[in-house]
Amino acid sequence: MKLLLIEDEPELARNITDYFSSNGFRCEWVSTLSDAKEKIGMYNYDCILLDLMLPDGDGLKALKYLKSEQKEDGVIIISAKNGLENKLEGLETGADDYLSKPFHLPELMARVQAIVRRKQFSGNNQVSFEEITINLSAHTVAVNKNTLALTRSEFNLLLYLIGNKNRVLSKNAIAEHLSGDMADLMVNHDFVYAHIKNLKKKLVDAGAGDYIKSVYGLGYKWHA
Amino acid sequence: MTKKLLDKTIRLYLVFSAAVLLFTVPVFYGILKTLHLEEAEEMLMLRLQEFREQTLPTFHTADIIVWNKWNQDVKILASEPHITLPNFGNAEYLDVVEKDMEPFRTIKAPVVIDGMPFVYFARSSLLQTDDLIGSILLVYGTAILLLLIGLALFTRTYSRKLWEPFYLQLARLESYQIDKTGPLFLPETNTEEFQRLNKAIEQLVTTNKAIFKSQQEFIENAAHELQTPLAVIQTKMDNLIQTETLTGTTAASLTAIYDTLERMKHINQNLLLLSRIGCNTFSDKAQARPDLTLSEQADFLAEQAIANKVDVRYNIIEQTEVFANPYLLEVMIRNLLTNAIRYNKHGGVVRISLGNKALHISNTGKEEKLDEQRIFDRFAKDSTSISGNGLGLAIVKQIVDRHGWSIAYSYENDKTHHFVVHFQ
Repeated sequence: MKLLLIEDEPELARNITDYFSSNGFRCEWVSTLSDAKEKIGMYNYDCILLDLMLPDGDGLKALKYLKSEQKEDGVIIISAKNGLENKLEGLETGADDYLSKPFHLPELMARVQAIVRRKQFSGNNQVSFEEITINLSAHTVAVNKNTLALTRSEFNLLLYLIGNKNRVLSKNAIAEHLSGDMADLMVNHDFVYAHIKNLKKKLVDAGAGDYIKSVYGLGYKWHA
Repeated sequence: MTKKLLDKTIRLYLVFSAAVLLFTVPVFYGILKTLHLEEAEEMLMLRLQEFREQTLPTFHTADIIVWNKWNQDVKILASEPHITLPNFGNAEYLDVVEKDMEPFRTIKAPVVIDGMPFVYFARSSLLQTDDLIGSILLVYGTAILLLLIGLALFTRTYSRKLWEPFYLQLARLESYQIDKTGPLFLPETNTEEFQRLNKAIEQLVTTNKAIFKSQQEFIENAAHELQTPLAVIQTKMDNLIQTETLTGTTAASLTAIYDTLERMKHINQNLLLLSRIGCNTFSDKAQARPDLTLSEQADFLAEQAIANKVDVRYNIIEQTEVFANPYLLEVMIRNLLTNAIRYNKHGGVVRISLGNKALHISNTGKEEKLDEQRIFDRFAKDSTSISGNGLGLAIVKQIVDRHGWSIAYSYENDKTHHFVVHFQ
């Protein structure tokens, strides 16, 4: 997997690169609009992470350039601008997704994977891990061909954990992922525990391995 | 007690006029009365002089009886020794025609007829002069009264016209809200003072608007600038917890940092939202359905409620339509509901009902009334609560104000905190 990161904050770029590299991505990083255009013109990427406020101009110009070159690379805008109008403008210009800063790295990973999946396997949308098969279009999960009855939250949680396998996911990151827009209003994270417990039980009962590990009360990890 | 400007002017005017009237009428009466008395005395003196000069030289004691018989007003009486000089007096005599007593001015003077002392007596009726004074006073009073009424009416009408620009300015100012866009239209006027007032107000408003705008921008910029550092810290943390050699103690510290970071993120996001509402970013409105918003939030709410061991009960939820910005309506409902859960107690209850163009949300919790004056202020949260960022109700209030709705808080006897939003 090849990823282009267009971001002018070096520390944030390093953090993103670290996380994605250890999950098997090849990351390239540029910090200016001109460098970004050069890279976009020369190579193809599975996904481009695009910051909007760049030192030499508006990041949307890179997106427009990409579209004018008829390229199909997936684009996720990562920006500190979190107004609805910014999101709409980004999506209308042709971005596939929009993630406001600050975000959790596992969240960014899940979004990147969703786009890569959409671009690469249009139609047959499946994620498998050992005996577990997740059908993304039908929203079903099967363990050794036995379909599991999961709630929407449990389904999202499973996909999130598998997408970030062998990574420790903080309870905060999981809670935010599950509450989506409502994350600001979370009263506490206890509901994460309940969902993890239920998912774990359903998987084990269906004959799957016990992959979900708790990490010192800090979070959870899908242990492959 | 405050009174209207026009009433005040007229009141003062009337009091002054009444005082002048009350004071001048008796004085005027007194002067007239004295003048007429002097007039009567002058006339009596004149008659006396006339009598002395023309009648007396040929007058004899024998004529006295005839004289007294035919003269009503001038009589010759027996001598009174103490009268040595002409001397005036008042007396009342019966009027034969009118059959009542009438006031007269009298004069008595010593005269000598045929070498014998007598008293000359003459009288002059004061009735006519009294009537005259009465009539004059009546005319005077009526004229003054008419003048007063006329002037009062005139002043009232004229003052009203004069002060009209002022009242318009006042009305415009009263309905003006600095945080809502749009210039302040002040009435044109050719009165110098009002023109100055207009100028001063316009300057004040312009300055305030600029300050308000820069303040809003500052909040928004500050919040924006914080997003990137927050992102750096958070992603750094996301990587840090991948360390293989993590121990229980470091994990506990990391959890604390994560939670604190999350609070910072929420404060920041809420500040952004507040400043955006302040800048009128969410001005498009449409017909919206609070009942649908409630049902959309139900799942999330149920999850949060279970985690907090709170029971959420929906009472009557009527289909309701309001004219609102859909996003803000959602934010308002979410904030109120999550507050009701957040500030609840274990095993507590949240009751929600919607109907009659009002949304009622009540919750159990701290058994003490909250400070009504402060709950809608920014960062006015109760110091004892750890979660929450003190901006939720400020946002709710802003949204309510933006839509011209109203919100009220009360603490009911059954130990519940009650919030009601009236969509009108």
